[in-house]
Amino acid sequence: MDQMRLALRSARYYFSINLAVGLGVAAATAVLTGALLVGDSVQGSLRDLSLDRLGEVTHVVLADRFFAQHRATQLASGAERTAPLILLRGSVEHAGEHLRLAGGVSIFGVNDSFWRLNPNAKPPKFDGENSIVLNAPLAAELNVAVGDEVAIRLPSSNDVPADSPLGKKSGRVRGIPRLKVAAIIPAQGLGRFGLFPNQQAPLNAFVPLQRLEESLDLSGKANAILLAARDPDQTAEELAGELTLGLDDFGYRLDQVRQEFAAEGADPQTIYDYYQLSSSRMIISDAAEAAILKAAGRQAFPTFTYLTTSIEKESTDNQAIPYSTVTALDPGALAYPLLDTAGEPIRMLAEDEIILNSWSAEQLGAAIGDPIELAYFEPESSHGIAKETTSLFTVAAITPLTEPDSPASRRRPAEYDKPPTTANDPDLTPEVEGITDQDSIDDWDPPFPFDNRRIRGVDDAYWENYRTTPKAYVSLSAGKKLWGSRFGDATSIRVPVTAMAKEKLIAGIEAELNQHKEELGFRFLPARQNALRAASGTTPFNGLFLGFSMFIIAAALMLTLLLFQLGVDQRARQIGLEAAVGLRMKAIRAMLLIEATIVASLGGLVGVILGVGYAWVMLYGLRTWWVAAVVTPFLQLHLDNPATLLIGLTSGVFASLGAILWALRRLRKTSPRALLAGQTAASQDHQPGKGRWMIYAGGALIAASIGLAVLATALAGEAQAGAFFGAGAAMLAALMFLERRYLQWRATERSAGVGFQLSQLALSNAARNPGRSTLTIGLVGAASFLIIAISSFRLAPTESGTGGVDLIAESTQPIFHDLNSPAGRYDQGFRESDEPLLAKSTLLAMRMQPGDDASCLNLYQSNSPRVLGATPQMISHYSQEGAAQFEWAGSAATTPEEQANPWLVLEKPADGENAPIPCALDKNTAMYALHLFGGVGETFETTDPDGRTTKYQVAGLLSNSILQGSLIVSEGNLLDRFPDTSGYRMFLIQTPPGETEEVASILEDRLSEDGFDATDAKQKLIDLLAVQNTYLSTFQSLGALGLLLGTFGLATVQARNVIERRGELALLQAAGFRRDRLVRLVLLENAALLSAGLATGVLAALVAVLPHMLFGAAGVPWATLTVMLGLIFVVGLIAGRWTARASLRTPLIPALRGE
Amino acid sequence: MSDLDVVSLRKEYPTRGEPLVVLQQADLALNAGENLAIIGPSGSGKSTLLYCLGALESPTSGGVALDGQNPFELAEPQLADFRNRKIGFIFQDHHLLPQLSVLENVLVPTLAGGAASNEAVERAKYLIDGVGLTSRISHRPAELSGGERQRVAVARSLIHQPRLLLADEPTGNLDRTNAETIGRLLLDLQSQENAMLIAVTHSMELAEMFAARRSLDDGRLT
Repeated sequence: MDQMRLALRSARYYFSINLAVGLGVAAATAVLTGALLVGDSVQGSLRDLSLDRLGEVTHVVLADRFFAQHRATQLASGAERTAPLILLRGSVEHAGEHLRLAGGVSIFGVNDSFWRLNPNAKPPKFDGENSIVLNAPLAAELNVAVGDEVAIRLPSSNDVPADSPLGKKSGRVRGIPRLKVAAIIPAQGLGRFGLFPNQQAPLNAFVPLQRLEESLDLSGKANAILLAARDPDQTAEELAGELTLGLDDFGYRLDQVRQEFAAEGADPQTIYDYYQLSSSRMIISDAAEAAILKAAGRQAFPTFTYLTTSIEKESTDNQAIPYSTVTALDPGALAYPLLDTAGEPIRMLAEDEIILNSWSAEQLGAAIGDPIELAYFEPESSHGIAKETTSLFTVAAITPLTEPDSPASRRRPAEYDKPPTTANDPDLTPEVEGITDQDSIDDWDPPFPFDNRRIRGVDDAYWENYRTTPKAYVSLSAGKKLWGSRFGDATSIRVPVTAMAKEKLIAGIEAELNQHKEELGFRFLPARQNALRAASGTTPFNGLFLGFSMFIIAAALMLTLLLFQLGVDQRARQIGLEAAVGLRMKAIRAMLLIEATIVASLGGLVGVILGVGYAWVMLYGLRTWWVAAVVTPFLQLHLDNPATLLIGLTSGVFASLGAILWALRRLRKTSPRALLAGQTAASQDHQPGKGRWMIYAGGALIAASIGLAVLATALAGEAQAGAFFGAGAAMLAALMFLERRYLQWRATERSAGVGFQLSQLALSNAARNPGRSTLTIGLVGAASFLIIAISSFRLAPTESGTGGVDLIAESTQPIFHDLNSPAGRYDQGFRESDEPLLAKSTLLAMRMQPGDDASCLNLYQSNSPRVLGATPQMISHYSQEGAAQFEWAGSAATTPEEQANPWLVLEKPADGENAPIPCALDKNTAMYALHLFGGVGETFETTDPDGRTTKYQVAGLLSNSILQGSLIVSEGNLLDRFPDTSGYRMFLIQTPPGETEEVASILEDRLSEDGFDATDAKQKLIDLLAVQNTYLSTFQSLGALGLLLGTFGLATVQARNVIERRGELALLQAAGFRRDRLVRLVLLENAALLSAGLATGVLAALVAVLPHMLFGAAGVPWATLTVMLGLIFVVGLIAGRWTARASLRTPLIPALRGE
Repeated sequence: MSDLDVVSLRKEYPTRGEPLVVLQQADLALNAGENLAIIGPSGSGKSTLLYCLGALESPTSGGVALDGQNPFELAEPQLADFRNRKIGFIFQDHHLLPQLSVLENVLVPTLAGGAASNEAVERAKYLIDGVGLTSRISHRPAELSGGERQRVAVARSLIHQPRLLLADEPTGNLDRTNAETIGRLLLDLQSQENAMLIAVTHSMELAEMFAARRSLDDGRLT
């Protein structure tokens, strides 16, 4: 026999109590391991989902323009595979019994190479060119089956920006009808392919690439390439370096514009001869202009031709010239200069000077020095409204124009019998669909307000003779100033043919443009890397679960401590005997520790297994009961990280051994004689006056708790959660100290006389073992704290959460007209009958730069959240008196106006390259998605998938709003940073009372082509709040687990007390106590401990929650809580009564004999 | 008819073989103010007899009548009341509640019917004074000696002025001096309260202090 053997034998002999201790350890380990596993599983599931949706795709090239499909082959070397495709966002509709429309659909034009990127899945088969493959979520949304026909609507490839006056606002959607559904594929693998990480399955439709090319007139073109690279870690820069694009891919073309005149019998004379580079988008972007000018050499020069609505000589009665083009250029840069009436080159032009061609001068009766007023549309339209403005110039020169002998037509240049001049240059005007391609002005189909009554016969004659030839010229700097926009400020770049060979010029420009692909609309996305990074998750699940689990782990450790103490108490005589026969107390404690280590280790192992089960149950819950927390049931248990199990096991076992060591500590103070008499240190608690320190410790902890609770309101994120839980834990500990001290006092210093009754006896019984009772109170307290604290953070939708709007809508295609004005609605195609309702509605439009959904509906880490541009109209709406406001958790407002309407703080322009853009965002988005804890004033950067960064500054924080998930900036700042953003895609809509559904129906119907989808704002808010509320439900289940432990602890203590006091109970029975009175005595003690536990939990929760309540971030649902706590109390009493009756069922009388 | 009549009391316990007979045809009678010591070796059935007399255990056959009332005919609640009001117990182990003061311990039997009344408290104090512990009235059992604890148990047994006092080895845990003191106290208080007192003991010293003695051997009362 040695100490180890004795420990083993003891472990076996005291099997029951050791089993209970082991279960306590198992509970602590299970909760700990389970919390860690849930975190692992969320991240693992997100990672799986990311990798699954990408198939073998590692990188994506995505362009905002169409390029030659064959470019894809450049990226494929060796075993690497690529797939060119057309990827557009559109809508799909199915005209079944009821028209069903799905907006926000990703429409892929694919060929076989796409499906080969996921070799593990059988590729679906198209049923001819006019067929379509849908993924299951889209098919479900449309309620279609294989064989049904659907129509898709796509943005047409109109390149002229719609926000410029020459861009078309309507008819930008192209439909492809009658596509037969060839297959419905599950939302797995490439069936859920998407670039924005989100655990929700996207709506995907796949169309034969060729069919899409034909429909969009884009033969052989694509706007995306998917790549399965051998090196998945290849950077975006490396990938960009592998792709070489041609001029056409960038949307540019180089033409030779040449004017010659050959007099009869003479050699042809060159009037001008340029290479002209122009853009399919009409305007050349600043980045491209700089690159092209750099490549084209010093002789290259830009021109900028713009449309004027009138050219008028000021203060005369002469008729104005309507609808003309005016070119801005630097006369000194021209290789073939404009000449004045004297035949001298015009070399200088000040910003306020203008050159008229001779036709214009004649029409206006203008001479040099005369003032000329140009009227024109502002270069950017808002809500499709072209705003006219004017500028005044002075005639600096008049350049002669030669009338052609035979006018030009669309396909044939003009023919001259007299030498034309350098002003006879119609190519200075870029092609504009519907205008420059028309034979007559009468045929114009302009996107701007056009009054054809202003067209005179002479204007028609000019169009016939000179077509798009500019009627006037201003300096380049003036043109850039007046007409330059975010889209650029040049319409062509010209290089004299003599300056460089065409091939060399093209090669040079292409080389330079290829250096700036990213700036020119090509995005090189390391999709796999981005997906894995995003899968690291927004919500720190491990932290969240561990935070909430801490109380349960603490409860489990308290239970372990309690049970172990009971075990020690039970064998006090044995320990006393061992001490009496000469074993040193240290050795006895060591033996007990060995025994405890064996028990704890076995318990820990069981705990790990239970932890796996616990995590499975939690994940099952998150797939079913609490699916609203994660939006879609995708979470699977991940056990691929053995370290998690090891950490759970060792942490659980060591924490439990810590608790056991604490329990063993008492033995040091206990004499062998006391032990032999069956007493442990617990009996020595009954020393009057001892334990005063607990009052001081309790007081200090209360102060710390209040301090932490107040501090928590000023913190954010994990720090706030830490302070909150710290406040709760400190208050729990404080109350436990004070309760223990009270029980100790009650047991030693209080005596009753008259009125002494059963309840007091019960309370005295509870005081007999203050440590045991306090631990029991703590067990119940920890669980009730958790339940109450969590309940207090439940959210209900408020009017301030919706900002007073009834609908929130999003359109797949941008909308350019002002839906708030009758004219805008008319232009958009609304009907007369819609007016009564829509006139009474308010539509607040916002621009949208697409990005990640950073709301709590998306679990992925958001690196590039969606950006919304709040229009001045929207901002001013909230300045109106009586307008329902959003609730702001904070803002940078300083003036009274800003304080009344914090949206105004967004209007501060972000001047300078590195100046941060003021933005507003939901507080939850700031904290949980973007991890911004600094509050208002904090600056941060977002990184686009291709690595571009944008700097923002938090100017306002919204509280629990429908705008969760986006950054909101002013329209001006959005357009400065994202100049390619066009139109409006997000709408906040106020409707007349009771007409919300009708308004939604009208809007969705009339804007169905644009994929307009309106959602009830309150419902949207409920959906968003449901996430937090469901998380809370999840964590409340932890509270329930804690209560289970508490009830178990309470019952164990109660049963142990009865066993220990059998003699006394027998005496009471002998003294005439009825059995039910004995049960009541035991039950009263149980109720006292249960009540104290609940009160402790309530008080600790209130202290932790109160500051948040005062700031409106929490509210205690008193009625629900009263019912819940009442229920807990009743259940506890029922369990107690059952235990009491079971314990008292054994005959007590033998105890009187000391048996 | 006596105040206490025990007739043909028999108690046997079932075993796997023949039933184990612990008491055989025990008869005795006692009147108020009388006391009786029952002596016998360990295992002779003394405690069983006492518990049957105290209605803590029901006999296999035979009867007990206290003031003409057979307690075994009573239902459990009435039986508890019967014990509470008419019987006082003193055990070898005092079974004091360690968390209660001397006064509270003496008052414990009053809790069977509700709260301690003013009269109960006065009587408890009177009894505590009677057992010589007035100065220790608010002390906890842990602060008392073995003899003092047993005196508290004696006071507790008398709180309801029981008709029958039953003492099971009341001095079994005490030294000779303390045993004599407790024995004397018991008899004095019994006499003072005009109660019947039956003590079972194997101590001849204690038995000799009693007015009557009977012995119990192998379940037979002689």
